[in-house]
Amino acid sequence: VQQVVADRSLLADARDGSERAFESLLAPLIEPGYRLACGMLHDGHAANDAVQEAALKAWRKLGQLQSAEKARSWFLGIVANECRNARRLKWNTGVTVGLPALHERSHEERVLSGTDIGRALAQLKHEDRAVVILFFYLDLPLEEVASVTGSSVAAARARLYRAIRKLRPDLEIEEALQ
Amino acid sequence: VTLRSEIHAVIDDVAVANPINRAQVLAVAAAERKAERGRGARSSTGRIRGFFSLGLRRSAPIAFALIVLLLLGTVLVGGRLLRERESRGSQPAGIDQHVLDVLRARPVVLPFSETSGQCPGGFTGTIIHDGGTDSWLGTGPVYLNGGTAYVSGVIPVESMVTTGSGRYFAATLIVNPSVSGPVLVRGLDTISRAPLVFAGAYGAGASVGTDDLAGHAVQLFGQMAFDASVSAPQRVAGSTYDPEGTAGWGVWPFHLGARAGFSNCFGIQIDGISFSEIITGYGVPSWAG
Repeated sequence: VQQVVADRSLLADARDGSERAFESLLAPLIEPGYRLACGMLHDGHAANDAVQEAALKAWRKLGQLQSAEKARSWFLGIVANECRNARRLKWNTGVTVGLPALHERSHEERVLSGTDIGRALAQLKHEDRAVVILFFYLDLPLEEVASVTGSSVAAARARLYRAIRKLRPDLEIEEALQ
Repeated sequence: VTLRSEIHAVIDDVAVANPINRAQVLAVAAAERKAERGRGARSSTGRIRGFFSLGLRRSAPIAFALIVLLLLGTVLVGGRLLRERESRGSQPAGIDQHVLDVLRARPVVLPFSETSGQCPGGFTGTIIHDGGTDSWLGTGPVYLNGGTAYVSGVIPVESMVTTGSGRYFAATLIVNPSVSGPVLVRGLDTISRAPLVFAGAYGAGASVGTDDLAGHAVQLFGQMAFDASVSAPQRVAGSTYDPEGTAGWGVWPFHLGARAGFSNCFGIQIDGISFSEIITGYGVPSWAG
């Protein structure tokens, strides 16, 4: 109970403009945000940039955070959106000006192509990949996965099952969830 | 081996091998917050006005003395500031100077080569927009495009101009709408290491002279700077090279200049609040490219 009261006080102070309160709120979320971004982008530098941008936007969107208990899912949602933006920027990497545009695989595609699971992850849709990483890598419960992705629990579960079938068609869902 | 452990292994390869610097993320975010607050504070003058009106009512003589001191200070300090401003060159209006100074403090880390023949950096394109090529150079969030594809002209000069002092390429920076705040651009010849110059409305830093571009007198600067938060002069309506069909990218035109003796190899470093990007390339006359 004391922790909940302290968290609420932290959020209130952060909204009032306290730098220290905002950083206390954000600091423990940087690492999970980075791990999510690494899973989404598979590029340490791009993940770093995404988290950095998310940290700036978190401050601007602080008013949208309903309670300190939801800070993690709120911030991870911002990171996931930044990762979507970062992936959109990757399309043109390596194109040379003045020459016909060539399609080159992005860095993340090249790295991920080294492993089957990596390739399969890379081919998932953004939302599906986010659900997989949140559930399997960050070990979030489905309720929180749904909160991060802005969907219902049922929708998050359906998305997770669909992604599992794409990642491991040979596995039963129950087996994959272990 | 479970699906969970496989996913952990493939992501740990990146996340564990390149740990994030939490303190740095927080520090940069704090700097941005401070900059934004600064912008907000400058626009809210009500409290300042209230303070002075209260003081004048209570103590007119003290207020008068303060005004005299203020005038004296203005005369004494103003001259020095003017001299400093002249030495610092152009400071684009509307750009947060504190953030710009932070960006200027970042080192320029362009790749160099001691020998001509192959430009360092790996790109071999030309920045000339030559007959409809719309490729964009860079890795984002800012891209370089040669020529005047989207530009009706801050300087109405097409493609490339050679003068007695050097060579100037019409160019545009195309900026993702997600970028906000000041953006600083610096450039060097990546063989000779001679600094490149920037002409146009967004020249910044020290003025390094003037030149005549096809009958248009222009001032040259060692840097380029603009605020991506404000509306760009033009925006990309859409590009066939963009599979996302993204529209609304800001287009910032300029002329990139190189001194006589230019090796044809150029590099520019683009710094924003949350990114730093390097673009290298090969700038040649369109008839030679």
